[in-house]
Amino acid sequence: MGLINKVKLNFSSMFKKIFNKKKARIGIYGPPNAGKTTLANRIIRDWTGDAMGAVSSVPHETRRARRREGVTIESNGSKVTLDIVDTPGLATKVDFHEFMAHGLEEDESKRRAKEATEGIIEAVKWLDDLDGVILVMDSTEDPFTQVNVTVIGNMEARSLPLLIAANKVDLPESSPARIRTAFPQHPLVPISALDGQNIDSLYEKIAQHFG
Amino acid sequence: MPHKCTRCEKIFKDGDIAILDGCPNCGWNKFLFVHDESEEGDDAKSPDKQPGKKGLKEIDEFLSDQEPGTEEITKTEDEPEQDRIESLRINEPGSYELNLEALLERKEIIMAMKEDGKYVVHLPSVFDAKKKKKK
Repeated sequence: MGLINKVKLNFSSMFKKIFNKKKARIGIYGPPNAGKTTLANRIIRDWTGDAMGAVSSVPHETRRARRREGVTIESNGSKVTLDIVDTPGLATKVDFHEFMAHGLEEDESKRRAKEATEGIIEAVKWLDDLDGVILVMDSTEDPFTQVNVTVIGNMEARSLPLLIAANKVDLPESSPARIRTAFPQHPLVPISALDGQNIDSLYEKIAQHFG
Repeated sequence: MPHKCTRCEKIFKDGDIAILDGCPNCGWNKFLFVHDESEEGDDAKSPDKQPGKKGLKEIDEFLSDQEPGTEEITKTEDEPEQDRIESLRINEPGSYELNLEALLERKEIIMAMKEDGKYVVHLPSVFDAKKKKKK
C-alpha cells in the first residue's frame, strides 16, 4: 500500500471518529403482506415522527420502492444514520385475480398487477445500491419458500449484511423459532411491527449490525 | 395399497395381518405394494379420473373459460425456473410470472410472451448491464 493511500485511510478513519457518523442505506425486503411497510412506518415514526406509506391487508399495497433519508437510530451507545428503502413484496407470481378476490374491479386489478410486477423488478434492482437488508418474514407462515430461499441465497452471494425480522409475534400461531431453524446463519429478532413488541431489540441489532 | 407375495404372487388386502408371520400360502416373507386392480379397472373406464389427467382436465376447463390463446400457460407449469431464460413472463394482461433468480442474478431483463418461444429483450437494461461491466 502506498504512502498516499495510508494517509488517506488514516484521514478517513479520523474523520469518522471526529464526526462519529455512520451511514448505511438499508432495504426492507420480504414477501407480500409480511409487514414491511408496517415496520418501516414504525421505525420512521419512532425516530422521526413521520410515516412511510399506507398499509393494507390486500397484497402488493406497496408497489413502488419508497426511500426515507437520514433516520438516526441510537441504541446502547451505538448510533447509525440510515437511508431506509421500503420495497414492494417479492413474489414469483402476480395475478390480477388475486386483487379481484379482494373486491377490486377487473381494470383496477389489472393495473395493480402491472404496477406490482414493475415494483418487484424495481425492488430487486435496488439491491445494487444497498449496504444491508432487513428481511421481514411472517412468523405465522412456513419460512421455506422459494422467495425466501432465493433472496437469502442471493444476498449471501452479494455479501450483503442481513438481519431477519420475524414479524407478527403478536399472533398466537407465530413461530419465530421455525425461521431461526430455517436460516440459522443470520441474526434474527422476533418482533411485532404492529404493536411494537420487542422493537427495541431490533433497534439494538440494527445499530450493532449496520453501524 | 394391497400387498403381493414376491414368490407365489398371492395378493393380500391392505393391512392384512396374515402376512405378519409370512405368506400363509408359501411361507415367504417378502411382499410388494401393488395397485388395486379393481380401482384401476374403474379408472380405465373413466379416463378423467386417472391420476395426472384429473389436473389437466381442470386446467382445460379453466382455460376454456378464459380468453382464447391462453393454452400455452399450462406448458410453463412443468418447466423448472432455472431452465427459463426470461426474467418475466406475461401470461395475459394482469397475470405475470417472475423469475426471481434471473432478476437477482442478471442485469438484463428478458420478457417472454404467453406463446412459447416468443421473447422480448428489454434493451435499456441490457445496455446498462454492459456499461456497468466495462467500468
